[in-house]
Amino acid sequence: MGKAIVITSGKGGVGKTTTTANIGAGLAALGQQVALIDADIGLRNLDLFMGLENRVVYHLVDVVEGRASWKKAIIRDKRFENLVLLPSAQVRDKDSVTPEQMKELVTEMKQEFDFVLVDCPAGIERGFKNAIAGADQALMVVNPEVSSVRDADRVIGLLEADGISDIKLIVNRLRPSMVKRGEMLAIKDIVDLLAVKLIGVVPEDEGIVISSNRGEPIALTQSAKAGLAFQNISRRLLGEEVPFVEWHDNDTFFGRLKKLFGME
Amino acid sequence: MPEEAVLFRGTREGIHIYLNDEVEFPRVISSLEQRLATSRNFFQGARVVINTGRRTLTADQMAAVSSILNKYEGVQLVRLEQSRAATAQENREMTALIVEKPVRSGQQIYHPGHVIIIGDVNPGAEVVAEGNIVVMGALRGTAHAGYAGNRSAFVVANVMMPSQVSIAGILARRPDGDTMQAKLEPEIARLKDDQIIIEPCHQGSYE
Repeated sequence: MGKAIVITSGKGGVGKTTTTANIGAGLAALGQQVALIDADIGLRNLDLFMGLENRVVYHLVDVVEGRASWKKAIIRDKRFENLVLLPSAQVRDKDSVTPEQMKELVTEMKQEFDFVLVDCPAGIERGFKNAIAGADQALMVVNPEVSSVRDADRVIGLLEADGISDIKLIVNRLRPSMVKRGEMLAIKDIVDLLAVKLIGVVPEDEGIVISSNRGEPIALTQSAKAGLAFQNISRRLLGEEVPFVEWHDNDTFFGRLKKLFGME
Repeated sequence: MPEEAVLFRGTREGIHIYLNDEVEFPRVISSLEQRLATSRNFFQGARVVINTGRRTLTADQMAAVSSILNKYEGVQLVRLEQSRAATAQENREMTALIVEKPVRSGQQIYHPGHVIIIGDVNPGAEVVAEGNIVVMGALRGTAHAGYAGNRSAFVVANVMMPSQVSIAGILARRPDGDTMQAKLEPEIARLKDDQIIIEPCHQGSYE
């Protein structure tokens, strides 16, 4: 039986859907059987990030209301045989599904996949409760900003109260040069405050915007910094010990030269 | 004591309603009526504990309180309690609640005795105790010691950076734009002449 992981944050716009798409692709590239569930009913996005929008026929609410089985509703990925997406409904809202129904669905899908990744909507209301209902584990996505960290803290409290104690942290959109100047929260401060284990740091990368628009997860691009970061997170999820990369903005010729001579 | 005539606290037992004993009773009653009316859904079916502070209710006053509660379906009065500011002796004898994990944003701890937190109190979290509060970690949220009016209560933290700290209803707030790092030594917040003083709690600084 597989593992259900909810990707959540509290605050919106921190990169939950990007993270779901990329970790999904990363795990699939490592040979895992992966299902992605878009639990953001009413604001369907994950299919766009995966480049599968045109193939959506049935959705999560169809499955829950019995109009289609989940096996019929899932869309197979273009690149990986072993990656599927259960899209969300765009024309319905969060109240169309109950936490009990979600739990049942996730438990069923876990039988057939190694990983079921649930993309959680922003907020802490019904949509959040639905998304976490069947989860064994949670990935918290935070940006190095005070408001994001504050919301994450609140959400971790809610997850713990719901019995989800396996919570790992992803710091997304880090800008190393700003941290260096003391203008952005440092990783250590975030981890200290939230008191949960860090599983990955993803640097700000313009490539993310491009890859999202194209519907191609950046994790499939070896050369992209963010792509490498997501691949590392996927490997860590499989229990592999992958050392953390120290991200630098100065990836210029002189920057690299300085590093080479130990001047950094 | 806090200025409000009526205060609500959610606890494990249900909802604690504090009727401020320093406010004349008719105002307490009208305020109770108002507060219940504005959060009607919240009280539907709730278990309620009424705390009258140091005031002993007369039969008429009690009747007034119950008639208000009875207007709400399913509200169950579990207990009526009376508190008074603890004497120094009683203060030492209060029970302590030990919390063995961080208190996170949006979480609230209330205990009618002392509270000991093994971990941090994060911004947006709130700890309320009728006795003392001890934080074995960083206090970055809000702490209110001596909630029932005990002016000898104190707050101790390994790293003292609260957004607000209150003792017996007297509140101190972090100055705006204060970016000063807290000292990396335990500090204590106490009342001195109606003002909250924060100082290092090395030996001999208090007894």
